[in-house]
Amino acid sequence: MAIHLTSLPLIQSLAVERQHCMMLELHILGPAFGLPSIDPECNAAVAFLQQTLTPNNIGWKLVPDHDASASPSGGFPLLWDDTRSVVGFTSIVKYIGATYSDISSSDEHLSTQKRADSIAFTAFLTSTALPLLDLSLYTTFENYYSLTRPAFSSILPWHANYVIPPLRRDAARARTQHLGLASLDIDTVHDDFARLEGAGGASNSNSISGQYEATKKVQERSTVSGRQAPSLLPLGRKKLSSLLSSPQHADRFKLDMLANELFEPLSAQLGNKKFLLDDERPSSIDCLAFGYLALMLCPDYPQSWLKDTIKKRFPKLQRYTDDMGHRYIGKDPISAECVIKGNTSSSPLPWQLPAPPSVARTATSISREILHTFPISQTLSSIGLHFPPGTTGSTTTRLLNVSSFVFSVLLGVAYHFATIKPDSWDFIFKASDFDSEPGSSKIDAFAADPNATLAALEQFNSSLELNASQEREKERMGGTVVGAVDVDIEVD
Amino acid sequence: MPHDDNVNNDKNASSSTLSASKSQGSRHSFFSVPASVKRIFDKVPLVTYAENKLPLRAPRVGSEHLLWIFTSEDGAETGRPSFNPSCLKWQTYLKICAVQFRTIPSNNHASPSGSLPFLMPKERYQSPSEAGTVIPANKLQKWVKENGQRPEESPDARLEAYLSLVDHSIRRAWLHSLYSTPNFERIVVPNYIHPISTSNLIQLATAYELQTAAETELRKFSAIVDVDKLYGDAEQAFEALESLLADGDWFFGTSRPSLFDAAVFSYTHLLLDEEVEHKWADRRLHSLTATRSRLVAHRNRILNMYY
Repeated sequence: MAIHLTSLPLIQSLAVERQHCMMLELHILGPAFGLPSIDPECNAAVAFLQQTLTPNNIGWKLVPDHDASASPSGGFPLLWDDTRSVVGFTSIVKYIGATYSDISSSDEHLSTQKRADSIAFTAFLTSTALPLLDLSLYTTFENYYSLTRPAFSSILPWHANYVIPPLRRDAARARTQHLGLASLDIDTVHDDFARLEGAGGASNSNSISGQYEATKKVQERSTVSGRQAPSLLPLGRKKLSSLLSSPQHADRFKLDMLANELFEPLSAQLGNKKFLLDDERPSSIDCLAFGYLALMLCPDYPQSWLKDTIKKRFPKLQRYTDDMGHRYIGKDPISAECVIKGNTSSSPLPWQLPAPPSVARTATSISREILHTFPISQTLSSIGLHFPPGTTGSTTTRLLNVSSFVFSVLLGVAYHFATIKPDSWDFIFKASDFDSEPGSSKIDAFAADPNATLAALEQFNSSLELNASQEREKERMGGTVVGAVDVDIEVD
Repeated sequence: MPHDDNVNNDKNASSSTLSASKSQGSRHSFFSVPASVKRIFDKVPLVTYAENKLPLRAPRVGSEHLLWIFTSEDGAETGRPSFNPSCLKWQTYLKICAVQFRTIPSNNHASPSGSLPFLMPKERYQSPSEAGTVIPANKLQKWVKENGQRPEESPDARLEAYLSLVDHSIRRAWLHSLYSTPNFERIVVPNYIHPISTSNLIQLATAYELQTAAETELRKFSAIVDVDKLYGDAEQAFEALESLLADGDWFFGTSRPSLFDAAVFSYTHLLLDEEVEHKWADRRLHSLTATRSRLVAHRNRILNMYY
């Protein structure tokens, strides 16, 4: 407890230290997929600062960050200017426009009508492109586990991996729930997953995404062999209509419809112009469009329905995104590894690594993260007691922080005893063996105790939602479970 | 015979591997459901029922289409605008398309799809085979095209973008203004909650549900609701709509109002309504609208033409 209390002045001094930086600092959620950030608005903000500040020789720093506790509304991109902080792309655009009125801001040249268009397309992109990106990055099961999570684990410190990606996935699910595209998300249709045929579990023929990949493979194979493509739907008319109304195909139509809702108006607005509003100069809306489109095009999606839709049907938008990318972040993709290691001399972006966090700060953020994963904090927030990440000041939060810290120490001690006498603790601690996510290889480098504590905590937490965790383990164990299911079918 | 033996051996071998792999499987899945129970659960839900038809007592005599919306008894008799934006949008749209209809005061529980508005066309309840079928809001536009006169549609590519200003920026500010400020007590409670039940308990529970639903909706796009940004976005949205309207009578320079005009009207009218004006406890959104002279004129134009 003593450790924790002494850490509080340290945090305050960190905040003071931050207030004295004179240069503009843009804090974003680290690089991924060759782009500056894994978040669309962060990419857009980077492009915007490159577009407005860099040509005018106004210095700014790009800081890969993950700790949003300093952000007033708990998110990124976060712009620090002296003592003020601004969050979110539109707020940053507004702030830069107001503060640096002497330089020509990117929207200065627009007519009133074009500015109105810019406002409209900003709302349009946020309301239409974000859910699509959510579906592609977070809700689609294969993409999340083999692309998004590994990308996060290479930019986040080990402890944040247990909190930030699942939180973002939950938010994405909440945003896409009303679309009714459950078949993309195997966690919610695990029964289908259990019926999976064939070993490995790589292609799930029951999910829409799996079916899409299978169809694509058939098409590719037939074009390679030069024969005419076999009919993909070798069925009579009656069967065809019932097939089309099956949930998977209905979902495929829905996805196409959603993609059209975004890309058709965007493509029409682009027309034959070089930029969305103007043929000569890009404006802030181009940065936002780039932020979203780049994240749809750059990652190597295992389930690439969104990427393929743009490539096949809207090549104009793909060319536009490539142009914007070359303009703002250079031709070479950004390597997350190089940025994290500080090897950024060749990058056109003004990267600056954040100061390595002090032990006290890491401890506080870990205890805060633990606090957030507990069901109790969710219950408290649902009855109106919110603990946003930034409120370290309030007495209640301090108290809860202290108690969670004490609890984590206790668990660490428990683990220590468990390693001496392993058998009795199997249920809690051996479970962490399943967690061989890419992120956890890093973990071994750290002290064993807190690592195991967190792993155990996550296991504990997830064993509360038995069904979900059971399915997750099934996925992780892959082949074994598939074997068990096959046997069940054979016995029948 | 030796051949037969071979076959038997094979069978034995395969059954033993089968049981071996089975025991292996069951050992690994400690939590898994037993196969027999799982087969039962796989069959659930046994049947998914189709939407309920309207009850037989629902009015089906007359020569008018019936539009079921949120409105008061008096409002329905005089055909006054609904107090719900989505209902008002379709109510206005039908009037623009010169469809003759009567409004029925209702709530979400009455709707087969779970939300208002919906339309009961007159020919449907006259022919017994189609009795009870209704047109939900998202199919109204298509129905009007098939049955009414052709409404004017703007071919402008920016339509979708501007529509998202109404459906996203303005709607979110509207939700906050109505459900998370003192306006809730003064506007939402008398309009939506008092008609549902006279029981205080039920009224309290419904109020809590409505407020939570609105907050969940607002939290979808940021973990913490930034109120200044919410109203800032709404202000920008009104500003953009004002410059889109420019000096024209209708949006996108059409000669007659379109669905987009109805969508804008559904919010501007409710924010500017003179009868509600004194009720606004939190006047931010109201004053954002009142200062836009072109939008005010646009709202008055529609109100005078159709109500």
